[in-house]
Formats: sequence, structure tokens, C-alpha cells
Amino acid sequence: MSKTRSVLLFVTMAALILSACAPSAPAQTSAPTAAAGSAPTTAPAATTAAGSAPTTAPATAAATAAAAATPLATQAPAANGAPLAKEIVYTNTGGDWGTCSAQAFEDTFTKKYGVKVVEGPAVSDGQLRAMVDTGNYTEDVVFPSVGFVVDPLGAKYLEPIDYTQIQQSELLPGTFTKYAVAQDLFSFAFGYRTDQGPAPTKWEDFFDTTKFPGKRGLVSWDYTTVIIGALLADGVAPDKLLPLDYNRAFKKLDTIKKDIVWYDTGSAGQDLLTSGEVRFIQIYANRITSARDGGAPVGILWDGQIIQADYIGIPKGDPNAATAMKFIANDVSADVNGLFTNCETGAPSNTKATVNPAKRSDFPTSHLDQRYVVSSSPEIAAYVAQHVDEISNAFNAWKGQ
Amino acid sequence: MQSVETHAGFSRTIGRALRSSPLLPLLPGILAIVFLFLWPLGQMIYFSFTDPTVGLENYRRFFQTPAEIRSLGTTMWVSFLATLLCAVIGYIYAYSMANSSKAVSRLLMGAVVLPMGVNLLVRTFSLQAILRDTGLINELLKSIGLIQSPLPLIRNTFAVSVGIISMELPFMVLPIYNTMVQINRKLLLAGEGLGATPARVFLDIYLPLSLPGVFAGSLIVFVSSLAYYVVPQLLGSGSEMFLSQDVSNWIQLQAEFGYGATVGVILLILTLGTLLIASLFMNIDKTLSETTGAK
Repeated sequence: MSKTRSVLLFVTMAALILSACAPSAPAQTSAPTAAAGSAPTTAPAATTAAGSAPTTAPATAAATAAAAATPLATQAPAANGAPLAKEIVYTNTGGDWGTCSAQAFEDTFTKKYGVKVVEGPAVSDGQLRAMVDTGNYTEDVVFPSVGFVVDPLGAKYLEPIDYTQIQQSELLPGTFTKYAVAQDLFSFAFGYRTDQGPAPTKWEDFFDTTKFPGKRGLVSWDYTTVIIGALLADGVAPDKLLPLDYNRAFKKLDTIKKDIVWYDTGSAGQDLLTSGEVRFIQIYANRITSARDGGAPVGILWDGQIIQADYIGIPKGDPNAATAMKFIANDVSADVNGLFTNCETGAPSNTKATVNPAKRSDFPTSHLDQRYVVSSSPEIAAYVAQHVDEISNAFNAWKGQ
Repeated sequence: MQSVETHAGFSRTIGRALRSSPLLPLLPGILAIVFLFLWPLGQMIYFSFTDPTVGLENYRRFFQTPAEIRSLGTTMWVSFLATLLCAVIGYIYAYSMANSSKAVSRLLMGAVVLPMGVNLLVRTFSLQAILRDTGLINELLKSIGLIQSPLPLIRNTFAVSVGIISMELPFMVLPIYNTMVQINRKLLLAGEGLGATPARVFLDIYLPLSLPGVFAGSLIVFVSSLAYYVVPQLLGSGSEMFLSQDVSNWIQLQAEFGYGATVGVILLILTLGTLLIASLFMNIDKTLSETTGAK
């Protein structure tokens, strides 16, 4: 009897181990990747033993996965020539922001092409890389960080954007790269208290402690924004920022260093402004307007604003890339891109888009007649990505002095 | 009838096969270790030497970056601090457990063991609710007028230590308790009979005899503290990073798998190194098995 039991135990354990070691295909939850899920058994990292070089595998693995999956994928009737996937997965983490992007982007896309949009959780750059390296695609439209939307990383991990489907001339310069397009824009603007003396009139006033004494709030981790802001105030023209002279920026920042209050998150920064702990602050424009709308004596100055993009892209080798590309094209098209402004503070990247008239003056893109920088532009993004260690180390060293 | 006989025959064959080689019954365990543990670990170590370039570049980068060295220091210092405090609190707790009535002892045992059944994340969030500026402690102290502005109880080394201590206390209390209950009471009586004061009996007899439990507990607590992630992430300052947070940063946010793996390997070396150094001073197998009651 005990022998039978030990045999059973042996068999159960063996089965457990086998199922645990089998590539992860059955674990996939999202439907669109189920087709691709069968491919990984043939190639990717799971079978690439530690001995052979895994770094060479990704490209071929991804290609195999794509090739194997495309014919298997359930296809919806072709809308305009190319066969479309039945559904795609788009990063949407919910909340007010998520509801708004569902209305603006997902619904319009589904209505136009009959393709269902499934909402997926946030994908970090690490997960994006893992997705491409293993050929196991869980999402089709993702939000990569700025460092990933330019070469060399963009070429490795994102599909190139098909600009035959997008009216490139309508997009605000600096808000699209070879591998990603901005779905919406946000900006760092100049917020100030209206009850602590005269209002500032230009970005330079942020650094003028004799005329405008008081504490100044700066974001602690976004050194690119802080450095660019200091350079602008020191007289560097928005188109002459590169190569980024961070030592010059630190010299300028030294003049206000004893007055700087560093904040980590948007909400913490907004608190500083609402409570009057700082007189000036460089922070997300929507944080300033929402403090103002909440009744705090707060004003916003758009001069010297630093605009950044919410980039969307497609993981390289994604079997649903063609459909995802249509989704992105729909997102940034003139008639869709502005819909987002009806319910959120993200500004359109398409200059022809219609902006919510009630909130018009609160959008960064309504103030492009004044001095501004798009710091997520391919040029600045590529420069920062290339010198990231150097700049961040210098910034942290200066900050710690 | 027929099938039963076949079944019995089959199992006898298997049984004979199992008996013939002593290694065979170990096979499932070995397979599990190789595939679920050694293989991924090997892959990680391999990555640390090959991604993005082959060689020691990743390790050179780690030891030349002041922030990484600081992170290494933070990990060791906070773990050490937490272990030390854990040992003091754990010793007192275990002492009360070992020297009280059975009912009280059981109650204390329950109080220390039961929270282990609650998810670590839940417990950390609860600590957040207790420690934060508008949390239980600060609100209470404010309402009775002891303080005006909130005490800095969260997002610092203190909060991380409190977090680690509250998670690790059972692993300190149990070994110490186990050692204490094994202490021969007659030795204490003999000491008293020879005229020693209670303090003398404790210091010269009880304490030395219970120290193996303290060492074992400290080793367990220190080694597992090194790898804490959730606690420093939710209770720490963000500027003082544990190595595990550093690993997550490089893998998740920066997507630099090779460098993240390197930090992971260094954390592993730190852990194994601690065990190695500890083994020079004590017989780890013996200490752990005797004090934890495992045989």
C-alpha cells in the first residue's frame, strides 16, 4: 500500500515539474496573444539554455513568433485591404484618465474598424523588453518611456511608425519619433502665489530672488526639466539647448539653491503651492490649474513651459502590429486626438485637433505663441538617453552638495 | 481481479526499480531544484557577465557608482540595525514566554505566530496607516496635545526597521524560545543554592545557555532582511534604496537586465557571504537544527 502511494507521489511530482517547466503559453490571459502563445514552444528564451547566448535570440524568436502567429490569428473582415486582428490590447490603467481615453480613443477605433480594444495593465520598459526578447506579446499598444522611443533602443524594441497612415505635418514638431507618437501632451509650467507679492511676468523671474523673494519648488527626479528650465532662464534659446550644458545650469540653480524645495510627486508639489509653502513652483500645468480651480490664490505663467509627450508605440514583432498601427493612426488623427480634451487635461499632439473650448486656456498647446521647449523631442530624448549616466550623476552630485 | 493483480505487479516493478538505485527517489527533488532554481539562477549569473557586453563591465560599473555603494551600505546597515533590535525585543519576549504559565505562554506564542498568516503586503500597508503623518500614532499624540507637528515616523530608516522587525520577530522569538525551554532548570537551582543573586544566575547561567538561540535567530533575521523589497519600498524614503529595490529599478524601469542581474548576484553574494562568515564562528547545521527543533 505504501509502495503504491510512493509511486503515485512520484508520478504527481513528475507531472507537476513537467507542467511547471513547460513554456508559459497556457498562462497567457489576454486573447490576442493566445495565438502567439503557441509559438514560444518552438523558439524563445525558455529553451535557450544559459549556455548559448540569449542576447542573439530575441530578433529571430520574435520573427518566428510573428510568422507562426499571423496565419493562425482569427481575423475580422478587412476594413480597407489589410486583414485586421479581432481585438488588440491597449495599456489603460483605469481611473478618470482611463475612462477618458476609453471614450476618446478606444470607442472611436472600435466604431471605425469593428476591432475590440481590451484594456491591459501598465507595461514597464523592462516588461516591454521581456515581451520582445521572448516573443510573448501581452499588449499591442504600450506607453514606452522617452528613452525607448529613439535609437538605439527604439529600433530594438518598437515597431517603426508607419507615417503613410499619419498626417505627420499636422503633428506638433518634437512630439513624434521614428518609433512612437504622442497620444497627448503635458507640460511643466510656472505656478505662483498671487498673495505673496507681485506676479511674475517671465520665466526668468523664477530665478530673481531680489525682486521675488520666497521658496521655489522644483521636481526632484526629472533632472532634464530642471536643467532645461535653468538654461532657458540663463538666456539659452529653446533651439540651442544641445549639447546640454548642465554645469551652466547648475551655476544658475546655485543662485536659488537655498530657496529650493524639492518635491517628488505631482500631488506633493500641488500641496506645496496650495499651502503657500512655496511662492513659485515649476510643476505640471494641470496641477497649477487644479490648485487654482480649488480656490487657492494661484496663477499660471506659460512662458518657458517645458512640454513632454505621452508616447505610444507597438512592441517590435507584435503579431497584431498592423491593427495596432491603425489604432495609433486613429489616436493622433485630427478628428479624434482632441476628444481627449473633453474629459482630461492632456493636450492634443495634433495641431489641427479641436480643443475643448471651455478649458482652452488651460492646455499647454494653447500657449505656443510664447517661449516653450518640447523636451521629449527625438533630438533631446536621444541626447539625454546617450548621456543619461553622466547627467544624472552630475545632477545628483550637485544636488547633494 | 485481473486488473488488481496487474496493478500490484506494476507497483512491485516500480518499487523494485526504486530500491535498486538509492538516487532514483531523489530524482523529482533534484529535477525541481535544477529546473526551478539552479537554471534561472545560472541564467541570471550568465546575464550579469554577458549583457550588454561580455566581461566584468557590469561589476566594474557597480563598484564605481557611489549611489550603488550607498545602496549596499544601506542594505547592510538597516538589516543589522533591525536584527539587533529584533534580538533585544525577541529575547525579552521569548523570556516571558518561557518563564510564564502555560496559558500565558500559549497566548504569547499565538500572538507572535498568527500574524505570519497575514500577507506581508497587507501588514506593510497597515504599518503605513499607523506610522504616517496623519496616522494612528501621530493623530493620537496630537489629540492629547503632546506634539504640534507630526513626528517623522515614516519614509525613513526608522520605519523600515520597524517594518522588518514586525515581519521578522517570529523568526527571532521561536529559536530563542526553543533554546530557553531546553535549559536545564536544575542548573539555575544549583546556582541559587550556591548563593548567587537572581541577576548573577541569569548572567552567568541562563544568558550563556540561551545565546545559541539568539545567534541562530539573528542569522535568520539578518539574512532574510537583506532581501526585503516591499517594506523599504512602502515605508522607506526612496532616496535610501535597498539592493532589492535597486534590482527592480534596473530590470523594470531601466530594462537593463544584465546590470539588474549583477546587482542581484551581488545581493546573493552578500547573503552567502554572511552565512559563510557565520559558519566560521558556529556550526550552522547544528545551531539551526537544535534551536529550531528541526532534525
